[in-house]
Amino acid sequence: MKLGFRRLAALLCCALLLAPYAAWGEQDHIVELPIDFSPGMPVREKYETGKMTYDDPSIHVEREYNKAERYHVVRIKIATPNQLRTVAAESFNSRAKVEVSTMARRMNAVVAINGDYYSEHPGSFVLRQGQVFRGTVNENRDILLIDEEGNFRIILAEENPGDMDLTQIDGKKIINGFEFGPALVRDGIRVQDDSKSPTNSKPWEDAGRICICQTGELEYMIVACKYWTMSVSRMTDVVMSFGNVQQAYMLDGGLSVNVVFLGKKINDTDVTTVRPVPDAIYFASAYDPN
Amino acid sequence: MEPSSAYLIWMAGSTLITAGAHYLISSSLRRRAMNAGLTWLLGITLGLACAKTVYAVIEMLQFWMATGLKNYRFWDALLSFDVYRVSFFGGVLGVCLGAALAGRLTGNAPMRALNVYAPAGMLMAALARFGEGFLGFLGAGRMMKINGLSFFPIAVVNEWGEGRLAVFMLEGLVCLIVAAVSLRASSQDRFIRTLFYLCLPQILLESLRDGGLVVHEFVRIEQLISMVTVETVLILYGVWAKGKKRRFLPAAVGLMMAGLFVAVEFTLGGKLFNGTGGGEDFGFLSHALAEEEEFWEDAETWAEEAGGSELLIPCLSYGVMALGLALLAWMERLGYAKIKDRMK
Repeated sequence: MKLGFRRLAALLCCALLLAPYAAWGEQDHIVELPIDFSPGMPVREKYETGKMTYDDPSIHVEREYNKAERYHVVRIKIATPNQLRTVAAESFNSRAKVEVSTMARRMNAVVAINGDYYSEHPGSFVLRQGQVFRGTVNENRDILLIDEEGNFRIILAEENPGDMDLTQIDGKKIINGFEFGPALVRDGIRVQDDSKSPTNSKPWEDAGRICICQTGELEYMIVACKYWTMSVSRMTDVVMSFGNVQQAYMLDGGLSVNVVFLGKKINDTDVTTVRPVPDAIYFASAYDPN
Repeated sequence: MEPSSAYLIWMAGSTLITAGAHYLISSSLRRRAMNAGLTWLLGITLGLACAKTVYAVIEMLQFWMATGLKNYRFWDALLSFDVYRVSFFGGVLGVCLGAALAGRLTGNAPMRALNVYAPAGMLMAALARFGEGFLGFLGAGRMMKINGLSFFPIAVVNEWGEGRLAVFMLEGLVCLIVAAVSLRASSQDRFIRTLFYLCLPQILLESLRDGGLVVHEFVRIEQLISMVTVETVLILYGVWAKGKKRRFLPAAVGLMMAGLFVAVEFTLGGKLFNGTGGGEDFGFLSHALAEEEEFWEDAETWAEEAGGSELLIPCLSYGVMALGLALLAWMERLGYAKIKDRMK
């Protein structure tokens, strides 16, 4: 018996010693995605009705639908900043549009949402995957910048983003920049101001709304409400109610609101018209089992 | 070779073919060769200038509606060599001005020169449309839902194997048909009738395009220009048919059709009927529906059921639009019948 316990103890010790190596081995399979328009690593699972989570060593996604308030929440945690990526329907110099699910399929996105519809917002700032496609900034619009560490930097309109170098902030290179807005939350403080919404987004009306939030280091959240159900102010209330939102920024709403999970559009599924959009933001897997 | 270089070479060749065709059909004009040569030269110069200027003005309008003009650089848009930043109808305007001016300089009445030039002009329009195939998205439509039809010349297939409707081929074909009909038509009023039939199908075809220049919401500027031109021709028929009964009927029908086409565009944009029976701009309806809690439940099951109607709304919408265009074509014939003897 004594020998048996010894063997068991020895086995346990070996297992404990090997565990970090096993974990290290899995981490080793996480690749650094390049900052360009190449796709992410292929996803390991397919969408099934009712599927609420996705996991691999590089990304964790969980989603929920609040039936009472009619909004979707998708929480994403990624291992490397480059897994937060952007893509255009054709190129960021064109006005071509496709459905977000198409872009998601092309890019192996785990989660994809619509972007800021840059093509029909002339003069707006367009910086994607490290390249500036349009350097102009519209007056009276808040700007969302995402730096090389995956952190959101919100520049409010009153801070005159047009006079700033928007390609780097505090020595950090900016990888993606969006201009739609308004900003809802900055550094945990509500900053939403309807007057900074794009003209046709009618912030006071109940409509389809979507916002992208940062909740922690490499942790993000997407909140997308059901068609015709939220004003921008109400969306801010919802976002603030989560308590842990550090930054939150509105993207193009109405029929443009698209949340795609494992290639399947999960919001407003009863609406038969799916609006093609010129750009998307997506979260990709960086896990390469090979 | 760069797509834009291929496009420019194609366009240069097309202008030469058009100049040859123009020379062949302009036997009734004075100084025929000189007129064809001058039309070619002025057509290129003014066509390019107007295509760029009209685009720059449209872009300026877009800026103005979105944010004001503070950051707009008009001269950048005007002087850029970007082949994507040109307006088709601006080009048409410039070429027409070139043909009229060449007629004047060679001792021909400008309108007569335009009437003679019309079929050749349509040939140029057809070639220009075919040439858009070099520019990727510009002349292509939305993604094809029926994979079996994703082959050229119906579709252009991209690097991901996705087929997009080759609208530019359809437009080119329509322009060729109009050119052939124009050639056989009476030389009197040939220009204005050709212009009408250049613009009429474009109302639908512009809607099929994916990369059209949108000024506000669903208003595609080249579609708007087409509709305004069609309506102007119908109004002109009414004015010229002085003393005739119901002379403004075609123009009135044209206005009604314009309203119908706006409704069709809103439907296609998902703002009127989108499976939920209402649209985001129709607050009272949306609120009423939003109150129906059960309406939103089991959404994923609904989606499966709704799959079949994905093509239904576009097919019905474009069907209605095509019928409207047919009615406008009939109105044009009706209007023209009242004025065709006005020169006698």
